[in-house]
Amino acid sequence: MESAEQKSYWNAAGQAGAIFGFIIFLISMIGSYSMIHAEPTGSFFSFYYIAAAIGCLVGIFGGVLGVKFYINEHGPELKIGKGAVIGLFTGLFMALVSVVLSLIWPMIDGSYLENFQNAMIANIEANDMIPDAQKEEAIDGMYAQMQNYFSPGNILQMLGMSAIMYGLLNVISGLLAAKFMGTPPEEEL
Amino acid sequence: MPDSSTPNPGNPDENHPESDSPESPSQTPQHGATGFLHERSWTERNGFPHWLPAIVWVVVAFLLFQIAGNTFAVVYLMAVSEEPVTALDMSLLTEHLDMIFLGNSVAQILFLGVATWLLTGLSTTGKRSQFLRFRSDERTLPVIGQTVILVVVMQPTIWMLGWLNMQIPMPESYMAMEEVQIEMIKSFLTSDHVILMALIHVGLVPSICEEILFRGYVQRLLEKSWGVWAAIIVGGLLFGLFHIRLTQFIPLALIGMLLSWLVWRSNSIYPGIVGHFVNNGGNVLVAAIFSDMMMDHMTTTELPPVWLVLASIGGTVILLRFIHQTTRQE
Repeated sequence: MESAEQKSYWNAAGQAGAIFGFIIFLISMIGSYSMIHAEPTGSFFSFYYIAAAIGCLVGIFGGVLGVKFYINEHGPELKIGKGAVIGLFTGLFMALVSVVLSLIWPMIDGSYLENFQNAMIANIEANDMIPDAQKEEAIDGMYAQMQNYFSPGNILQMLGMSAIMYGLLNVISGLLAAKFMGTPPEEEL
Repeated sequence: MPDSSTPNPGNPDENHPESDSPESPSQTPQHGATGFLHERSWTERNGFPHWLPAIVWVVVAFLLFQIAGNTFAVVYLMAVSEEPVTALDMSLLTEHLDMIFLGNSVAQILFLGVATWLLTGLSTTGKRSQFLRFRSDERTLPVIGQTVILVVVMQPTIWMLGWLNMQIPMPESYMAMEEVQIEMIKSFLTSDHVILMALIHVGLVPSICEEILFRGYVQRLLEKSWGVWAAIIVGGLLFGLFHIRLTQFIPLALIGMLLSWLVWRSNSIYPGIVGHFVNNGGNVLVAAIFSDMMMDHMTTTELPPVWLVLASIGGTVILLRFIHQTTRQE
């Protein structure tokens, strides 16, 4: 019989990470294209940021799915610590998948980056609540980021930030999923 | 990999109930053989691998520290400024640098120091102070003395490594951010009559709080998961990343590894705290006396003289061997 330590969670975390990585990429794309095709409102709550927030909320459930897959594979016996680890790796896989897809997409739609940049800049310019100096700073920052979209530094930054965000969120959701969906194992002899 | 070839000087696990040995299932009385309610810590009982709380907490502590420090700075500047505050308003930042550093120190004490101390309770059944290696014995004081000499001797090596690190190209946007950071530190360190303040904010507070986090909590947990050498290397890398100064990542990581090694060899956190303080505090004093030289050191645009680097490397190696011998004899 496999001991709790021997039961691999890589399949569960990998599958859940791939599924949720694709879902959060899809949500982010819906937000981006909504913004590209909408009139600039100048609001802080643009489609893009709303989609990012929704993506973040949806992403929390990656850890739950990872634990669910693990339970389907190995049975319900797991401690909350293992759930947290499954959640962490699910979050890391999600970050990897969504960033890779984000890098591939501009090659499929060649005008995506430019259109997105123009939409973001137009939205900042339409915002009356930001002082001009800060507007300039924000636009310069946005422009620099888009120009360096495929640079190793930007890719590492995207990966790092996504990994931290989804990793931490899914540690908590994996832990909670193990608590409510799993059963604590008998101490092994 | 656990280090089995080199005897671990005074493994604290042998001296207190913080043991790696698995609990015998037959020993589950209300109070275990050690006299504590549980034989194993909360994290062990709930199946957390030791590395997980270590790494997660480094990230969370970093985020909390940054959010708290920056929020304090922004709110304070908005309160005292009559005009809208922009992100890189150097004159405003410089004018109120003392308060910004105070906010930074308070955030460090709260999140890196106190919160880590409290969190340690989840990973130990014994005393937190023992887990974090707040202990001393007859070899602690000599190692502290040797650490002070070591940190001074290795400064040219650190400078040289900083120069090497600077040769790695970084994005312009990042360099602009780091420039602001350096300007702030420079303004603070070269202000009049603030040497004592700078020693507290740049020297004392980080040397205690960061040591509790890295050489106390993180190193101990990583040692339990991956063994001593992996703990030293990973802990050093995390220490380097934590400072978000990519142009100084290599020297910072090396200092982190060195302090980890000293703490492990002496089985006491005090050499780490003193070494950290001498490094940071020494930079404050040098900046106050030779501000131009200090800026060369911080921006590492120039290499120190080759003979100095060679002497520093030689001296560092000799001192490390000496400390190794001293602690092994014990």
